[in-house]
Amino acid sequence: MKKPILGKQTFLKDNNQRLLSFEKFVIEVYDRRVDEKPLYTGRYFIILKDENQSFTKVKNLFKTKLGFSIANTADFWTESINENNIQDADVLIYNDLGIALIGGEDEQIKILENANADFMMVPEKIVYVPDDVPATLNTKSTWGITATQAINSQYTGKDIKVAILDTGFDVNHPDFKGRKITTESFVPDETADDVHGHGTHCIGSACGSLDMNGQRYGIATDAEIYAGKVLSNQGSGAQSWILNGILWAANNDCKVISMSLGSRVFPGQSYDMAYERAAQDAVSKGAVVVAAAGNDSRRSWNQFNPVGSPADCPSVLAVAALDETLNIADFSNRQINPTGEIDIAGPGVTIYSSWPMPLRYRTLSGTSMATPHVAGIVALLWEQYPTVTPTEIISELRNLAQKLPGLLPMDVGVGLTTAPLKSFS
Amino acid sequence: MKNIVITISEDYIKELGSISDSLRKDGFEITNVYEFGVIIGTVADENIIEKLRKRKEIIALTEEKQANLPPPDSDIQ
Repeated sequence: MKKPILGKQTFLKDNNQRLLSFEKFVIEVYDRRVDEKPLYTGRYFIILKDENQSFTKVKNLFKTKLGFSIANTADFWTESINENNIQDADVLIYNDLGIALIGGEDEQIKILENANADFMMVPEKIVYVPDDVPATLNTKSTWGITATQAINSQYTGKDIKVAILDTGFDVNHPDFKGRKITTESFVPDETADDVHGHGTHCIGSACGSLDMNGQRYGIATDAEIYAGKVLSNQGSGAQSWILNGILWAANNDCKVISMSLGSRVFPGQSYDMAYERAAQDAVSKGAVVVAAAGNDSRRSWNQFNPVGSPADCPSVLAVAALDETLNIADFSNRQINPTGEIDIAGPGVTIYSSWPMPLRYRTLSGTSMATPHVAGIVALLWEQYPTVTPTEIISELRNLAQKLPGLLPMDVGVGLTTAPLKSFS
Repeated sequence: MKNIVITISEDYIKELGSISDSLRKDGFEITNVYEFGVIIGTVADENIIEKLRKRKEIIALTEEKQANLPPPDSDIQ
């Protein structure tokens, strides 16, 4: 038989130049946060050049040349000036200030601009509330425990090893007294102690139990905790530390590996092969791998960013964040790249959980908070079905998810993760 | 000095040891070899990268990524 003609695979040089200019493009086009908000109202202020001059001359111009109807602040003796009362006026004159607000048509504005009179014209600015109004989030909301039905589940994740690869763990946190905890640091020159706080918060959502007042904030209350420190006290980590952590967790028979971490991915970018290999290896050893989809979007500004890495790997479940009304969180990323799907969503806005002592608790938002909720539920499923494969666990996880009609799969995947409830048959 | 992550084609994973040895000979300073076919290391100059790219055993060669969290006082994590 004739031999098949096979193509030759070539390895093209990494076109860094292109990636860099693409990155620049993305920053310019996608991150135009400030520019997306209009700066001006379309109205103008006329400011008299000489403060002591009266509006008489200018008024004349308004009336004869432009046919403007004029309101004057002097008309408002007692009431404060409300625009509803001057709807029919084209001009509002602030006598005391020597300025007038003009709401004319473009042609009228042009005539004024060319009038070359004793005044200046400036466009009226729009005033915004600052973008980051810090919210005081001291609410002890543990709505996620109720919404996911974990509160009603008979399962506790008993003896299931749950790995949280993060900034480490505060092992002396009083809420975790008597729990089985293994820690390991993959960060050079740092112990597994959590100085950042992020890791302790994530472990709290996945494996915590009750707070000092008896309020429950964790899903798998009896799971065995494997805290792998792969991010430094400054909150950053090299890819090799994360691969080390995945391998450590998989080799220690952890049944779920939770990663509330990631690097930003650009539209059109493919998933990382090395992460995918590590995840495949973990799955082959019996673990389910979950990761945060990332918080790079600002949906209220019409800004959507793709699922980050490693959540965009085919062998990693990407978790989106929901708020208490089960709406998608403003910052939660979406599927934009073909392989970067959202698999499932979890509670990720105003999440109360453990924090390193002495603070003890904190309420935070992020896909980082949604991810350990899913990890905790995976642990409950492993307790229910101890002999099945990770693929079967994932399919049961999907089956159990609460559908969210009105939200898109590209945003929330199969919907809100929910806990298995024991059947009493 | 660049940190490089190399992924070996599945067809060659069994030869990970000998591939690592020959990468070393090419000037790739290995810091980690993972059983699932990933090798991490550093290279001193770009020419070595070009040389490595031509190898048929390598299916992906990228610069090592970093993962970053927001500072602890940020409300969105």
